[in-house]
Amino acid sequence: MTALNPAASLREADNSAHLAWDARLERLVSFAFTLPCLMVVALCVLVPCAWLFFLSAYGADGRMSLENYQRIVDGASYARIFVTTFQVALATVVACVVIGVPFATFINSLPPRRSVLFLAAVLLPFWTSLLVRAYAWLVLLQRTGIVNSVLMGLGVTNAPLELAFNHFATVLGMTHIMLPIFILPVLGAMRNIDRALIRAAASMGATRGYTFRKVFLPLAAPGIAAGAILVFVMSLGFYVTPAILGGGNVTVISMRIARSLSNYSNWGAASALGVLLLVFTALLFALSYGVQRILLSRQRS
Amino acid sequence: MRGSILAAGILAAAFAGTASAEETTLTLNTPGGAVQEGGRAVLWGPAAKKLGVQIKEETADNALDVLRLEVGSNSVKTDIIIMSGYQAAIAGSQGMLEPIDYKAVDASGFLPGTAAPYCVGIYGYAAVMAWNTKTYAKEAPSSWADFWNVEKFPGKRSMRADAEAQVEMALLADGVAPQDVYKVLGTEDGIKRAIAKIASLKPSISVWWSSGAQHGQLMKDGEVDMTTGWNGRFQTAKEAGGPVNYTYNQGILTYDCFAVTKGSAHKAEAMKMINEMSSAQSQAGLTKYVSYGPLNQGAYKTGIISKEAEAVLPTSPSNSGAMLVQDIDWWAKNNDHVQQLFEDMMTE
Repeated sequence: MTALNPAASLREADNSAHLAWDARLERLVSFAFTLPCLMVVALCVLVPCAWLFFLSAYGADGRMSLENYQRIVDGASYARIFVTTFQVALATVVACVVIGVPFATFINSLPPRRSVLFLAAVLLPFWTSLLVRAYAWLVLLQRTGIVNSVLMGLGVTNAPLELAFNHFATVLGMTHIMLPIFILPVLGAMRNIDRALIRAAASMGATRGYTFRKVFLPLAAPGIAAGAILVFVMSLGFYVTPAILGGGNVTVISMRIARSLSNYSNWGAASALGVLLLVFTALLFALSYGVQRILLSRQRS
Repeated sequence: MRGSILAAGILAAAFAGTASAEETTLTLNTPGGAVQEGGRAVLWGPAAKKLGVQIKEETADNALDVLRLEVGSNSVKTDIIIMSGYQAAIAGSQGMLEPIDYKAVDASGFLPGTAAPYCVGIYGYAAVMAWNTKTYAKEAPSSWADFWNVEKFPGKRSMRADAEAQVEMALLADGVAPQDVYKVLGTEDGIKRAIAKIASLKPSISVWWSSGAQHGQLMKDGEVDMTTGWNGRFQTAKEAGGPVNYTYNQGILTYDCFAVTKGSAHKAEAMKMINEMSSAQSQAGLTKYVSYGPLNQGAYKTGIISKEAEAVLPTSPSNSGAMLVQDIDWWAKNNDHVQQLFEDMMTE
């Protein structure tokens, strides 16, 4: 008996080495499968990004310099434009959360057939052009627009309200565009919540509000966070909506990038702005990723 | 053997020589649209026929990019290029254009300031003031001082989201005489004064427009009561029955022009072509295609332009006197700096 044992353990050891080799091979093969994908990412994302960094380090005279970054630090308007961009994006996120979370909760509570109907209502504007939607808001909001005509006709106000060409109109238009993008991941997260947990809470005497706050919302939180990050990052790059609905009173980074190109034909200056936006976005992304992980780990415990 | 090759070479060169003498082909770059269509009919079409040359047309959105590419890579194909006077001043200062040979080009009949060292004007247009005729039914504003006077003329304003022409307007409103505008803008204090004047109007500016279509629409919809903008758009809105009127008084006159690419293989022919295309007859003919004004003042004496058309063209003798011809060299030198200050003011 004792004589057999070492041999058996030896065989087992041999086996585990084989298994480890197999596992490594499998990883290698699956990695090989992802190679085309990685190459596409490298070609379409990494190379242009590297090119962006490269261009930003060249001055107008074609020599390497930090003048593009110096201009951003010196120019009074750049800091304001960055602040405006982040303000508008943040306001859009808040508006999406305030409108989107109750709406997703509502859709989630409906039986499947009726929920499809409401989901379609969310998705429908998704298929209309960005430009058309921005101008549609202008028709509604401008001084001689429908909203002001109705309000003045009803005697609510004497003078037309300033609804268009400001931060309000910009955030409104962007929220309209981002809402489906926010609601979909939130709804996904809500659908994955085990209904038994809700019933369990209710059976133990929790009120509906208490169940919603203490059970439902924490379980949906990762989805809400994912939606919020998505909306925020996408909102940072908006161009058409702020350009039309902001009427020049809301200048965001993308507008300044376009101006650097059309007005000064200065690729370096535009690239430097792009690099800064990318860096800020990446930092925020890392930050929110950390927050999301904390939320998830807390949920598990 | 060697001799025969040489002979063949000489023969070939001789043939090539005669061929090019018979049909020199000039490449002409245009912005397309009505300018290209009208230009073909009345400018380079007839001129090429008269001079016995061929014209190859090309189009580009941004003439500066074409020059940067061709001159930068040392492969000049374009001989004549249509660009804005401002762009030509930049391109000229960066060595991308041949100086115009005014011995070959007769620009004696041109409006002063519209035949520049590097380009010869084709047509002029003006940045003017327009207002809503319903809002200001009793008394219409008539000067930039009125545009800035929100007590006498209350209402919403719109200005361009770009310093171009707006700084000149601001100084005119501030009481600077037209002939002194660029003298004042020649100093840093003068530039700051213009920007500060625009900043003072900011509370009344509800929209900063960025395209001609936009300021036309803003006026037509009654979204603003007064705006700066290009004469053609307001004329169209007025003719369509909109509550819009405009004045050429204190307007800022700018122009598009012909320029010759640095290193063009047909420099002399290009100058001759430009001379032909700058004739009173040619420039008058172009008004049938575009709503811009001829710069050769002789065009108004050809009988081609009707009295009604003359009354609304920005360059006609009755209108041009009230306007300031934009100094394209000042803009070429100061654009980046002024735009930066303007943007600081806009985002503040």
